[in-house]
Amino acid sequence: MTSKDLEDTEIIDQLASLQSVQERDPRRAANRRRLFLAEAEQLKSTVSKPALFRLITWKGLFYPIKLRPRREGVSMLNIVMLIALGFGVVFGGSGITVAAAQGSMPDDVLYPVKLLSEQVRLRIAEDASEEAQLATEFANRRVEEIRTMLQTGMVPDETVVVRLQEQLETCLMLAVRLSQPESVNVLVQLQEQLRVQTQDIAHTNMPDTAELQQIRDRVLQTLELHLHLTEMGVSDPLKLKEELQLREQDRLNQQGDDSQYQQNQYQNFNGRGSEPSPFGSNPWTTGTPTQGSEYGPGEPQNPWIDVTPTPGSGYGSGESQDPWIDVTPTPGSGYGSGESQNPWIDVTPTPGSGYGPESRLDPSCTPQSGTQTGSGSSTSTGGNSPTDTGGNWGKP
Amino acid sequence: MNLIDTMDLLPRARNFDLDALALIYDQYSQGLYLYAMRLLGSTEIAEECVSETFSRLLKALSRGLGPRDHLKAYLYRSAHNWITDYYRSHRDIQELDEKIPDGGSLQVGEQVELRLEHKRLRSAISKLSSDQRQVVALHFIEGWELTDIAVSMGKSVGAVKALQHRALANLGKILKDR
Repeated sequence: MTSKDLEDTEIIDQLASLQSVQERDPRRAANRRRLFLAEAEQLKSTVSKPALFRLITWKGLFYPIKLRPRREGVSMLNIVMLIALGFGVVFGGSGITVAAAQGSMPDDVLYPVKLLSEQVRLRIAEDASEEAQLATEFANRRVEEIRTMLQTGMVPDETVVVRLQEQLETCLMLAVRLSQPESVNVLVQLQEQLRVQTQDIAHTNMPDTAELQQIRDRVLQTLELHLHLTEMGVSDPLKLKEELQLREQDRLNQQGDDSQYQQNQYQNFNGRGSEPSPFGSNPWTTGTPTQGSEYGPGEPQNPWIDVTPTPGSGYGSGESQDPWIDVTPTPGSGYGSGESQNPWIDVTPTPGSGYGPESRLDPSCTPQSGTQTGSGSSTSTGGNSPTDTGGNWGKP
Repeated sequence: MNLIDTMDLLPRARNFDLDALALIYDQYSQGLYLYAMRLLGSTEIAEECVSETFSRLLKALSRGLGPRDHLKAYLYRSAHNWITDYYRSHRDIQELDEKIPDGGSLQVGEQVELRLEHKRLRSAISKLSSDQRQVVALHFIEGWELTDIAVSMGKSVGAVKALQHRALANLGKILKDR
């Protein structure tokens, strides 16, 4: 056995020591369970009514990528520029400016024109497949811009890296909207592109400064994450779709604008709401995304990083007025103590509701743990492997 | 409960069959709590993680989303994302209410030492990349098989092994540097 093996063994032993943790407080566990079931019951009424609404909501996760409320305001100037560029791209009017902008870098005056022209091209794409191809091409541009900046010793600022992350996410989102063969084609192309780019960025000759190195590491992390997602999509597009749904779901929850979005969708469906601005409503090109999630910088406003499930942040807190989602303080969120104010905790269970002491759902019943050892011990060990109680999920 | 049972529960859960949801909660909440507790070291925060994980599941199901199969993998991935976000927003991991297990058989000095050791380990784990942390936590702490982790992460077993190798190397380096 080598010294490295010995070292690994020692670390593994140390890790195993973490298995012994303080046992769960049964009363607190029962309380959480009750909150969960209360939230389930509350949501049950919302899912049974608007089945069509649910469909629209689901589609809303993927289809109207560009019609989503953006987190940054769009200046009128940008809208005017976009319209002008639209005409320019379509009719060749301002082609010179647009062409000149294509080689611009993020710190150039014409760079916004370049981005806007890309948006226009996406909007006038003939079909979803072309749109996905274009998004892939634009993602390639973002990486090349960063590589050029690194080579010349320019330090890309946060927005440049964030823009890359968002562009890559857009590619994936567009790809999973396609039929499976088309989706795989786009993903394979993106996969190859990401592999090459990862190598290129890793071997870029650049001034040896800590700042640049840090940026390069972040870019590499971003590329590797999306390469992983892309590989997942190539082998199983549905799994990628599910993963993106999960991430999108987290993002929506974390943004706290989830309920507002749902309400907008519902209003749009009923013709009571106005369609969001067609320009600049793409959330993938505006807000701050991820850092290490691995999606973004780490600013507090980044929902993937800091805003999230931070206890006490109270996101999805029921402050929304959306009747379909969060009217009642979301029980499962349970942020803060507030237990005395929570009707789900103290209210006497309705007979027959399934929550009373005689119910199968009696919170006081002992959860199947199988993960605790020692009857009188305060320690829970091991457990939770796929072979014990919670297990077998991956094995028939 | 085996996979078939779980697969049977999922369609019922999608229809918000409360019995099915309760069974799912009972089956997985304890494991998720231990998972979170081992990585976070705080009962309060671990409970928060479990609650939020199940709340997200409900919200996903209410939108017609959620897991297609592998419910357990879905729940652990969701919990893992929560923990990852928590690490990011709380760089200095607090372990305010952790009590040393088996405290009765240890001297006070040993308890303190064990607690510090756990804190040091958790801090080191929090510095790993998200994927590396997931592999370390699921394999070496939770005792999952690599094949199950591969399914959960959507990676090949080889890729998971590579992650495990890098994670151990990084952990060794982080622990040495401290």
